[in-house]
Amino acid sequence: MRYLMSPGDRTFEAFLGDMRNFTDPGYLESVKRIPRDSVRSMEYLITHSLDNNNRNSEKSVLTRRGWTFISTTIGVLYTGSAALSPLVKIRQDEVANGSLSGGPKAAFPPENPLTLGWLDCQSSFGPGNSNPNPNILTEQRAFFRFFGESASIETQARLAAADASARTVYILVTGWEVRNG
Amino acid sequence: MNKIFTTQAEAANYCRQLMEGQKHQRQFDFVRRITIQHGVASTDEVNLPSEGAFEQVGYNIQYTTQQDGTAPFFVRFKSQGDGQGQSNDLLPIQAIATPGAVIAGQTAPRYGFRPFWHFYPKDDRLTIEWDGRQLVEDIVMDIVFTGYVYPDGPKAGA
Repeated sequence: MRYLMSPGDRTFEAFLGDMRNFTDPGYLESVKRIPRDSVRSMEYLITHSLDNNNRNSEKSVLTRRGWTFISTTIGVLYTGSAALSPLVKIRQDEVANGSLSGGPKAAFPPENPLTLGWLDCQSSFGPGNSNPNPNILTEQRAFFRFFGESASIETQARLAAADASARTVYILVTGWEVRNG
Repeated sequence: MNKIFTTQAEAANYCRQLMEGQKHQRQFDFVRRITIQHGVASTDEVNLPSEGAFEQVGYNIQYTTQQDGTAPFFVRFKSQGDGQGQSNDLLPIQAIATPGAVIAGQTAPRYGFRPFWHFYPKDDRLTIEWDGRQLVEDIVMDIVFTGYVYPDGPKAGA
């Protein structure tokens, strides 16, 4: 996978292409030039607390200023009985420089929502063990999306109609962040 | 291996270079154990390989549970070079631990590997923030880091 580096920037390309070629004479030089602070894994957690007095919750988190975030997987886990699964929605909004007042938009077009309708946590996300609190997530699933600098990852969670219990829903989006500029 | 050797000498030379290349990079696993104390939120500093820079490609996390089979604790990873951390918040351990069964009061076998890439220059430090305030018993967490160590790799601050 080629990441968003400056054209002609050989450091990361050298890292990906040459790093595991033991016979490459420039190997050691490639190691020394690893842009360790330019590309790395990152993950964002959004937590929703639901109960009978607060059956529907909306939250958002901004991606880091100065970095593009490319999500690769998503996982959802929740507390409480597995008999009734909460539901979630995911939405993206792109804002420039963290401004919510309608200034110039980031390069990526703001497309939302990322999901249509409410997703049942049990059937739409990775399998889990219904035993302890919270239900154990055994896998995340693919969720590929570009989020520009200071983009907003927005999520909604709600209880199923017949559910009167208190639950905490954790939505974890994992991916790569690439330094801008 | 996708090379075709036409002579024995060529093959021997290639093998020699592979062996010598181990001085520059080799696959490396190491495990670190942390006790998550009940009722407490704190941090632990994890020793990284002292031999050189470490390129983490992923990990396996295992942990004991309380007697009722639950393990409501949270962790967050931060390195010296990334003070803001590898996540935006403390994460529930179940969201990042590798799959496995639950055996109340014991460490359940957890198989597999969770990809998570991070580069630690030599002499970098990894801090794990943890929050065990919802626990009523201590929990022991083992993290097996998988990746590559570079004995001649760049140092922190380089």
